[in-house]
Amino acid sequence: MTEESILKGCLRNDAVAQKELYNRYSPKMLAVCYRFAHNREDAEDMLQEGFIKVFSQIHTFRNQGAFEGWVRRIIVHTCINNLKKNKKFNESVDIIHATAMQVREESVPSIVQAKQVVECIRILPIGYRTVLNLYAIEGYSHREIGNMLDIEESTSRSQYTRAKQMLEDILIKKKILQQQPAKKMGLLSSFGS
Amino acid sequence: MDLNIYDNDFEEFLKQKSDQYKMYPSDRVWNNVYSSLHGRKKWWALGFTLFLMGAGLLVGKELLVSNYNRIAKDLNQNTEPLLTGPAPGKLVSIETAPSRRTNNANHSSNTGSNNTNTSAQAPLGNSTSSNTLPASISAANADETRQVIATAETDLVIENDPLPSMPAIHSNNVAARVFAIPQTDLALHEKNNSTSKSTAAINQVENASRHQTVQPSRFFLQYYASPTVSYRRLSNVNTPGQNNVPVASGFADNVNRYVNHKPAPGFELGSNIQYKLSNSLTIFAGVQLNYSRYYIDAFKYSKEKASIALNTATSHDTVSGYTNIRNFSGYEPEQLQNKYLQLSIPVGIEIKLLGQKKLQFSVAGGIQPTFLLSSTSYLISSDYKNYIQSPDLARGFNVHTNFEAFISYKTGNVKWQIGPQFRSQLLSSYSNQYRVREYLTEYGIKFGITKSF
Repeated sequence: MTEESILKGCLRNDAVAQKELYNRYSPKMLAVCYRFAHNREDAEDMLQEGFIKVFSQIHTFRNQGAFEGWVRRIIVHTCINNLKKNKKFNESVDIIHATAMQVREESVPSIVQAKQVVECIRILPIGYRTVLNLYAIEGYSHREIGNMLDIEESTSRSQYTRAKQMLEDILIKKKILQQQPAKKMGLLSSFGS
Repeated sequence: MDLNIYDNDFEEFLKQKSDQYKMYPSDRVWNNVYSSLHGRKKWWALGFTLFLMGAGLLVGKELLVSNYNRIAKDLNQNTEPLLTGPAPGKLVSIETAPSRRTNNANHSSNTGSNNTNTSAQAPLGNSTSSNTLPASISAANADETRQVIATAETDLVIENDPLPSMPAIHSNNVAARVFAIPQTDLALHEKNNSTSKSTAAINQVENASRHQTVQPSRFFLQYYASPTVSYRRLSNVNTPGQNNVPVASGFADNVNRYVNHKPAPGFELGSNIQYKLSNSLTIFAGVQLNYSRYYIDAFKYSKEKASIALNTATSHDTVSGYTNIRNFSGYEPEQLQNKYLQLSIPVGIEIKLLGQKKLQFSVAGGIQPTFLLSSTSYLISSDYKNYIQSPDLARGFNVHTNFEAFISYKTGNVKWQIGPQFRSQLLSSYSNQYRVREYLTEYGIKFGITKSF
């Protein structure tokens, strides 16, 4: 089924078209939810809620941009709303959590790097992880992140900086990233961007 | 969302790796999404149907009760005047009063609890007959005597005809005499009365007997239940251009050879309104709930992509899904269950073949437009290798036929019946887009109770 026929079917509330759309985008979207959620069950709950919103609001899609990007934005907003219900993004709490964290050094085969990178992201404290997901992966600006999370733009920047530093350390320890002095300087040069 | 340019290799690396990662959700996620989008309508339908059935039963019960009350009331109204009074053979009172010898003497009787004023020509009234009290007889003038005899059954005025057995009463100081008059004498005496008085009585009796005869109702209400066992039969549909479909079956046509399924128990509940056309022919219509299911033997495996080729009006399409169920082999056996909850409107006829009033042997058959209320169904993929759960392709409307034979026994107003029944599905369980056709059949033993209105 083409994307156009799927959209038309979903507008008619056709169950076959809805299932096809779900099958096409649910694997990637669940991975998005998994980066935000505490565990897989929470991630599936977010995914379920997100797709219900997608089907309910599909009549608002105006063909301005890619459909996947539109779906992804709805899923991300659903994840954020879910987190806001359960957790306040407290910078001080994240710092305490980060200092207590210990990561084991190990070598990770390259074929599973994608999964491992995601798992490393999930090791981060919830506040750091959310800001990193929104800025580095989903492409939101710090101003937009501040509005979404009800935090200051400066808080978003500082949280992102700390998150990036911590993640780099984790990835290096797990040998997903190679520690190179020159490259490390390159990474640090983007400190605070 | 502002445009964000990645000038940092680290962020680009994160995004690239994150986008490569995919996870496959469990079935419950889609089931919940589907239920949220479509499921509520069916529960509304089920609730509305149950409400209709309950309302129908309540109305039927009220009709039964009101009919019974109406018949009972009619019976009471038409028989009461004729049935009161002392039993035949009881004492009657004889009273004389001063009167002139005339042909139309006035008469008044004082018979205890009832006062009846009648004239010679007056028709019989509605008074009840007298009690057994002897009445004093006094006569100032004994020239004329009138005798009033109140019988146990009717009140009659007899003019100036003293009973042969009675002594003549003369002049003054007439003593009251009380006689017990046997019924046979009264019957003889009745024949001698004027026809106008008896005609009125006969008319009254005829009217009453007409009311007493109740026409048997032609309407019946039936409740029934049946434990059932469901089977399924599959068939392929070969369409032109099938070889052009991305997913092609590498197997022979008869799909039944490549699936393992077993029957499972279900049930049927329903209620009918029946109308008796003749002594041996009855038509009926009602509502019925069916729960049908069967088992599928399959295997668990790791999650993989499977596809179902669809027939559309203009082209061929596929529906893909991720499943961890395989048909032929896997890590461990897994038993799937396909379930269907249906609401039907059976319409048919019932024919009595043998029997008399109490014990009968009959057959019945009909057609049942059916609505699917809910289902859980696993469909086999186009290459027969996997099972995918897909309620979307289930057909919402179907048609069934049923046939049954039963023995019935009547006790009073209620007929009890038991016998085998067979129900068959005419259209495939799934949309015509799906190339595999499924036809369900059910067998069961039906128990029924029928009551007339």
